[in-house]
Amino acid sequence: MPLLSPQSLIITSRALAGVGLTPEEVRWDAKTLERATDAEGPPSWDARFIHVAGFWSHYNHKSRTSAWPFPTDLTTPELGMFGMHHNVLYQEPMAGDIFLQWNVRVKTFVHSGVVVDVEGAIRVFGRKPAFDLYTVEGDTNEFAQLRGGKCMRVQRRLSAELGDRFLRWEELRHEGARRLGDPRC
Amino acid sequence: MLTYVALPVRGEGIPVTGKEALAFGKAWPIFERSMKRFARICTKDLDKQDDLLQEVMLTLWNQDPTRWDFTIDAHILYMNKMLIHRMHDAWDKDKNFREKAEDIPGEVRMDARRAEAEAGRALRTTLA
Repeated sequence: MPLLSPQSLIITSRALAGVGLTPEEVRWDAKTLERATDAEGPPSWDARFIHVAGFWSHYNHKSRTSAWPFPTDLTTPELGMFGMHHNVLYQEPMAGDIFLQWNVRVKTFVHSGVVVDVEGAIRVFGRKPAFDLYTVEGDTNEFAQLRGGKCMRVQRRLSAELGDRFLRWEELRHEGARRLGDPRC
Repeated sequence: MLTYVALPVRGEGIPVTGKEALAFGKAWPIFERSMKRFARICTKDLDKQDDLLQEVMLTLWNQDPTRWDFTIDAHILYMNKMLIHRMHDAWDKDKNFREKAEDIPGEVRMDARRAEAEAGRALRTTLA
């Protein structure tokens, strides 16, 4: 069974952010664009960045397959659904998790990225803790805004109190999660 | 025999790191004008207006502007509504507090202040 390695994902995504991946290099395919485009426009490519990093960090050149456990056309809200379905959404982060940022208006996850490091936790009595994170994410900018169009390393604070969740994909260790090679990646 | 040691190298031209905290500076100007206008409607007192604006700024900070796309009108409208409700609540609470304070007779208020001062003194003595 292929091993899933959060450390590999961290290294690959950090390298891709360092190189400065552009939206053209990680664009969604036409089917996903058609499926996921809504009133607020086409889907953000933040999840696509994660898939590219995940696919190549788990690529095996001998079998020409990748052990990346997600279908590579899942957008951020779909990643949330996938995590919920497989019971791997957590309220507290670990390095290598995929963070999912919640928006209270659209009532779905609107942004995602890779947690590189958990720098600290703020615990207030009677409330869920908030976490200071160092992340790597796509489609953001220097101000960590949505749809920023860049690939960045970001310092941000996320909290389950605001609905944020962390997808511990390392726990998806079952045969069905193994993916065949994706020619687009 | 030579020994090679790998030293960490500080790279040139490493891209900057994004910071979530900077997003507030980008988001506040979008709401500043309407919030100031609403604060002026709530009260004529300039200090009170500043207090109300502080409340609203805190709310915006706590809501984390990075999870909102303020290029979309619906997001701006929703946040604007949320901030105005927050300001209204703060103003209402302040108004109720002042009305209640005025209802209490002067002697009782003085007694309460005296009791508070005594409690403070007692605490300081205990700590000393």
